[in-house]
Amino acid sequence: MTQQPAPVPAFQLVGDADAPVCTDGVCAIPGVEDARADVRTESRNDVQN
Amino acid sequence: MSEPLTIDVWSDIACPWCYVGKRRFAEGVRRYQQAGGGLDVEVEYHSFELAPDTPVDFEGTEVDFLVRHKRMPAPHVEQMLDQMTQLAATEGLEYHFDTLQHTKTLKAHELLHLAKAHGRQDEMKERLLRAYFTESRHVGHVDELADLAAEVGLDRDEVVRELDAGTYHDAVQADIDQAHAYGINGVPFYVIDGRYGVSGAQSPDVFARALAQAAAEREAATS
Repeated sequence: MTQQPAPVPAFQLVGDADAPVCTDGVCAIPGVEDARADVRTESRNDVQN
Repeated sequence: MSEPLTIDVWSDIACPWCYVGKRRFAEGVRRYQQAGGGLDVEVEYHSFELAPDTPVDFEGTEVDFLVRHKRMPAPHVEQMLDQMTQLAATEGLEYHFDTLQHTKTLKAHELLHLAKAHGRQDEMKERLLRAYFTESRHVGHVDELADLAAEVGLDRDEVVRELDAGTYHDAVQADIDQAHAYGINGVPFYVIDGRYGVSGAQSPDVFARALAQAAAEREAATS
């Protein structure tokens, strides 16, 4: 039987909003830009142009 | 006696910041207790697959993975990984991205659930992170995972049997579903006593303050 997620608690986010995390296989590195953003921007520009 | 503060941590083995965050959180707990925090802290790790599209037997380096799968330029990736290696070193951690064996971490997560059932989850988590980042072990293969599990006192044969059977697959998926329900899309992510969410490898002081705040609220509610 599939387990259902528990109800989402009303927790409060605390701490530095810019603390480093890893997302979708890529990790944020302070001082290093996420190159995927460049790829996506270029893709959008291609469509617009 | 008061119940311990519960800390639910979503993280992945293949997550450099999760290893750093583990060190910073441990230091935060130490500072909380040093400042007089009286409640024990009970940590439970939950599964989060950072790159579920990774093949178990990915051929190539971490740079190759990020270039091929995430379409990132190689020089940029190399700069990122160099920076990450240096940051980890400041926490006393040794990362070897050049020899690391990138793999799918589903079976490693199943093993963490098995270890939890035997009260050995923290030891298993620590062993898997070191195996992956420092020793370049292959944490996607059941045999390799069973060897690591035996090192922390788990029964090797049981590990092979349960991982081959996928006994904990649903538990892993339930964790991932729970993360999505919480809106968690990056790791590490900490939920402290069900009341405070802490995203990322925060400083030890942030963790210490959040623990103290949660403990104070607990005491206020029970006094």
